[in-house]
Order: sequence, then structure tokens, then C-alpha cells
Amino acid sequence: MRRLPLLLLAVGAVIPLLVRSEYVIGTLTLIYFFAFVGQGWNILGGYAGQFSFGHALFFGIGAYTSSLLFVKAGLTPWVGMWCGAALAVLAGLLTGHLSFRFGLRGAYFALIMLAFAEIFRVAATNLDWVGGSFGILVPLRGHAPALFQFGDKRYFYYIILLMLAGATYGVRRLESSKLGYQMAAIRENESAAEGLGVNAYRVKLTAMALSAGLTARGGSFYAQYFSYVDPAIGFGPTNSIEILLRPIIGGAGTVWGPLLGSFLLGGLGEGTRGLVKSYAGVHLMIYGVILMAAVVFLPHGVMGWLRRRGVRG
Amino acid sequence: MITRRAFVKGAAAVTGGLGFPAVLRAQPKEILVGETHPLTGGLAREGNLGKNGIELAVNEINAGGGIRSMGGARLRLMVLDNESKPPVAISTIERLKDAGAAAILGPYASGLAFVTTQEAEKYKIPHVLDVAIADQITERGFRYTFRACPNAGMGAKHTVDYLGAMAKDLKLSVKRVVLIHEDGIFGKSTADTLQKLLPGIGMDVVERIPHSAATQSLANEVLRIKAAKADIVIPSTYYGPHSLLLRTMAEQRVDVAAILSVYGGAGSQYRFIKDVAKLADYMMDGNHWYNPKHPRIKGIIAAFEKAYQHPFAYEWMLAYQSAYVLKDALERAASTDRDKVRDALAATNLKDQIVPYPIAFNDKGQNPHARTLLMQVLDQKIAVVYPNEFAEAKPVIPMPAWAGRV
Repeated sequence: MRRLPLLLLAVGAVIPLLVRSEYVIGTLTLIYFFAFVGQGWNILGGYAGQFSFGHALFFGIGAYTSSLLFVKAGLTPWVGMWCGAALAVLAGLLTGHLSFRFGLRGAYFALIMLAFAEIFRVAATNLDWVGGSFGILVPLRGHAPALFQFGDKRYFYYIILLMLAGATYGVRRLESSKLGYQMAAIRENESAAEGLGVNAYRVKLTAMALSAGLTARGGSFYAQYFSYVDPAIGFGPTNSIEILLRPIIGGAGTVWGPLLGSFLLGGLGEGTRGLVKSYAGVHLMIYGVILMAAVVFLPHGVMGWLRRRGVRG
Repeated sequence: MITRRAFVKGAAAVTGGLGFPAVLRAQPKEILVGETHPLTGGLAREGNLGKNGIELAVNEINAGGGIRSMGGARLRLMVLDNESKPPVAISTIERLKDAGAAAILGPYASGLAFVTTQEAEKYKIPHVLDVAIADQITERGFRYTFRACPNAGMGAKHTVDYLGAMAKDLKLSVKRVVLIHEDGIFGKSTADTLQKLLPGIGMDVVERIPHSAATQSLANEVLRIKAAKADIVIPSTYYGPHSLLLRTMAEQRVDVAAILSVYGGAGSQYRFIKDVAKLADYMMDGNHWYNPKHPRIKGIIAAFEKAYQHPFAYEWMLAYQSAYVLKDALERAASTDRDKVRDALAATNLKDQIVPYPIAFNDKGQNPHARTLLMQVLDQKIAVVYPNEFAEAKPVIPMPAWAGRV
């Protein structure tokens, strides 16, 4: 079992060497990508139990910062990505301070995050110097690795695979660290945790900062991969839902939840699409039904189900 | 030059004659043509119109003997739904690449076209756009992207030119223009362009009123139009707010000389006339349209209505046209090699089309000859009123007061 993560990584690394299909590579790239941003959400929403409904805020900051720095100042997105992450951490600390300082929990915290993301969406729509409602087209320079642009999709595949491996490793370390235990304590019972001397405000802010920084780097990756981002793609509520869907299906607060959820939803989406070709929209209905069934029958995600089976078996 | 098989009564007899010996000979080979359209999601209506338009054209082409230069090879469509989402749009292009499509048609919307053209460029697959009018799509230096229809900037310029010429022809004293636009990419960029162009024909933008596309009421906005003493109101917005604007102006009896839109969400749409009936009369719109003088256009519209029970809409017409642009290129390339098809597309020189302009592409892949026409709803029909060479009716400006007719 201990070698499993390395084995998975090795399998991931050889797939592009064996598979010629652009579609398979592209689909896997998107699955890793959603797992990556899902892992970002997972730190705050899963481990610390602070259910954010507005993670598009950080995603958008990442996407916009790296793109704007490239378009306006010619700065390579390799650096811009970290600038975006830094700004997202700042935004996370600010929104976190405002929410946690005033004791917002549960649904109220979810709503305030949604509102923060909406503020940024409306602002991005109306500020012309960030592209306004048009958004930003990243100028293409052909195959330019120094500028985070590649002629072949496989480069993006390996980059997001490495980013995902790093994030998964980080979260695994976090899980068994002091901070990780403090987060879990807050998630299970915040008052009790505080009674035991955990500084809930501080731990939650730390979770927020880590989560925001990670999600923002996913945003920068998106902007480079698609080379187009607009206010709705970046900060829109649909994006917030996309971000949290996978870790929740896979199992929030588990290391492998986001990856598992992403594979399930990605596979499910592509599978139903391939199965039902003749009637437009039918595959989305099937997808929706399976999604509902998953939420109803697997309240703790697939990882929760696996664990229960493990305990019983 | 392409010779289009007329889709009229006689066609069945002709194709019957052609088809029979084909069965005795070897089966002619097929050419795989890819198509990505938003068949579900927010753009499903437009995407399905586009899909039907291409289907009609491909059926005509196949019934007319396929691609002659390739021994009557038939076109086989591979239609993929991109769900109105950019990430899915990417995967549709990947699948079409894997399947070996010779070229790709679609994807109706600009937001999707940014992604599909970029992917097609990466794989060197020719991509003929049907609508997707954002200027920037053909400004990115892509060699495999082709757009036969006018872009956003061209459309705004043509409509303003028509307005200026019409004002001169009819000796109108109209000067005060109010722009009302939704605050998204489409409305805002159109309003920006208009604000730059209108002074050139001696008109002043006296007020500019943005609104949210999801708005439920335009009562205050219409009050502002009234206060501004507008001669001409130019809405650039989507279907819902566009019809809401008309209802509100009629209710408040705000009379102006003309309500004229540029690529209006509700302008030049038969469902608009169906929905608001008499309120739609005298609305003007500069938009994509067919050449009303073209001998084949009536037959094509009738064939579409018969096949899909849907009245004319430019969305399907442009998709239909894009399939014929590709057909012509395949005919000249005499090959499904993507680079040869691309080179043939780049050398396109089509005249006598159902669109009111010849089709050729500049080095960016845009058709510089493309243009919009100016239409007006008259007696519950959409008639071309400008420019004169295509006009079916005389424009009615100023429009009659609301009080006398609703």
C-alpha cells in the first residue's frame, strides 16, 4: 500500500508514451486539473471543515494575475503563477479574517465566500484594464516553454501531473501534521477544539491561505492551457461548484478524495457522452441522476464508502 | 467554381439517376467532416439551428453527387455536442482529430471559437466558422481558421454607414442617439464601437445606458431614454431584454424616430415577431441576412422549413453556407489531406452565393467582402431595406407613434 502513490505516478508518467490519442491525453489532463483545484478546496473545505462556495475567487485571481502580468508586462506565467498565488493568499487572509473574526460558520461562511467571488466577477466585468467583460486572450507564441506555452499537449499533461503529485504529497504530509490534527479537531467540533487550546482563528486562516494559494495556481494553469479567461470562467459561481464537486464526491477531508472524485466524474461524463450519441442532452441527464445517487447513497464520498467497507471487511 | 445542385423538385429525379449506377460501381468513399456545436446548455437553441443548417447542406451535397473530384465521395458528418462549455469544446476537437476529420465546422459562439480555433490550429485541421463574430478570433495569426461572415466590428460599421446614408437619402433630421446595452462582452463592445463611429455620420451619443442581461425591468432605463429626447435608440442586447425594451417603450409611449439594433438579440428573428406581434413592426436591425434576390434562396428556406419546422434564421443559414465553403474547397483540393484542404480554403473565390457577398479570405482567414444588411419589420415580415441593391421595401422612418397602433 505504501508504494501505491509512486506506482500511480509512474503509470501516469508512461501513459503519454503509450497512448497516441489526443482525446485521451486531453481528458486525463482535465481530470488531473480538476483533481488539483479540488485538492486546493479540500484543505479548507475538507480538512478544516470550512465549506467554501466561492473558491472561484482564488481560481480567478490566479488566472487573471498570471495572464495580466504576461499581457501587460511580458512576465512569464511561470513567475506570474506564483504572483497569482501570493495575491490569492492575501485575498484569502482578508476574506478569512473578515469571516472568522466575526464568527461566520457553516452556511453563512459558504454564502460570504460566494459573495466575495461575485464581487470580483462584477468588478472584473466592469474594469476595462483587466479586460472587462471580454476577459483576456493570452497571446500565443507557438511552442515557447519559457512562456508556459507548448505546441504539444503532453507538456501540459506532465506539468499538471507533477503539480497534482506535489499537492497530493503536501496534503498527505499535512494530514498527519500537528496543523492537520488541529484542522480536523476544528472540523469535528470547533468549540471543543478551542477548549483544548487550539487557536481556531489562526488555524482556519492558515488553511485558507494554503487552500487559496493552491487553487490560484490551478487558475494560472487553466489560463495557459485554454489561453482564454473571462469573468464568468474565472470568478463565476459555476466554477465554484465545479471546484468543490469532485472532492465532495470523492470524499472531502481525504488525501485521495479529489483525485478519485475527478476520475469518477471525468470518466462518468465522458462515458455517458460516448454511450448516448443520438439524443443531445440525454447523457447530461444520466450524469445528473448518477450524481444525485452518489450524493444520496455516499454521504461521505467514495473514500468514506471504501473506508466503511474496509472496517467491516 | 462550385456548381450547386438545386434543391428543387427536379433534384430528386436527377439524383435518382445518378445514384443508381453508383450502386453498381464500387461504393464511393466517404470524407469525414467534423462539427462541434452547443447542442445543450445556454446556447442550445442556436447550436441546434447550426447543426440543422449543416445537415441540410450536406444532404444536398451528397444527393447532388458528393465531391466530384474525388469520384463522388460523400461527406459524412461527425457531430459532437460541446455543451456550451470551453473545456468540452476542447475535447470535441481532440476527438475529431483522433477520428481523422478532414475539416471542422461550428461552433456558433465566440467564447467557444477562441478554444476550438486554437485547438484546430495546434492539430493543423482547417476550421470553417459558421458565426462566432468576435473580431479577435481571426486576429491571432491562425492559418487554419476561416470565417466567411462579417465580424462584430464590420457589422457595426456597415449598420452605421447604412444609417448615415439613409438619413441623407430620406433627408431626416435625426441627431440624438441613445445606446442601451447589456453589460457583457457583446453589448459593451458593440456600444464602444458605435460610440466611436456615430459622430462620423454627424450623430451624437447623448446617453449610454448599460443594464444587466438578467434584468427583469427596464422601466427606469426607458425613463432615461425619454428624458434624453432620443431620435434613435440603439439596443445591443439579448433576446429577453430586447423585447422587454420594446414592451416598456410602448407602455410608456416613448416615441422615437427609429429603434435600430446592431446584431440585435431580437432583431431579424421570426420568433420575435411571433412573441410580440405588432410591437415588432418598424424595428430595424443590421445583421447577417440572405440575398433576397438570389434565385435559389426561397427553395432553400422552404426545404429547411419542411425538414425542421422552423422559419428562417440566419444562424442556420450561415452554418449551411459554411458547409458549402468547405465543399468547394474539397472539390478543388481533390484530397482530404488537411494541408491541401487548408490551401484550397485560402484560395476560395466564391461568387453568386445565398449570402449577399462574395467569399474569399484574407491572410487572417476573414472574408473582407462580407457584410451585413439592414432589415426592418414591416407588416409582420422581415424585409431588407438597405442598401438599395438588395432592398425589398422602403424603410419607414420615423416610425408611427405607439399611440396610433398599440
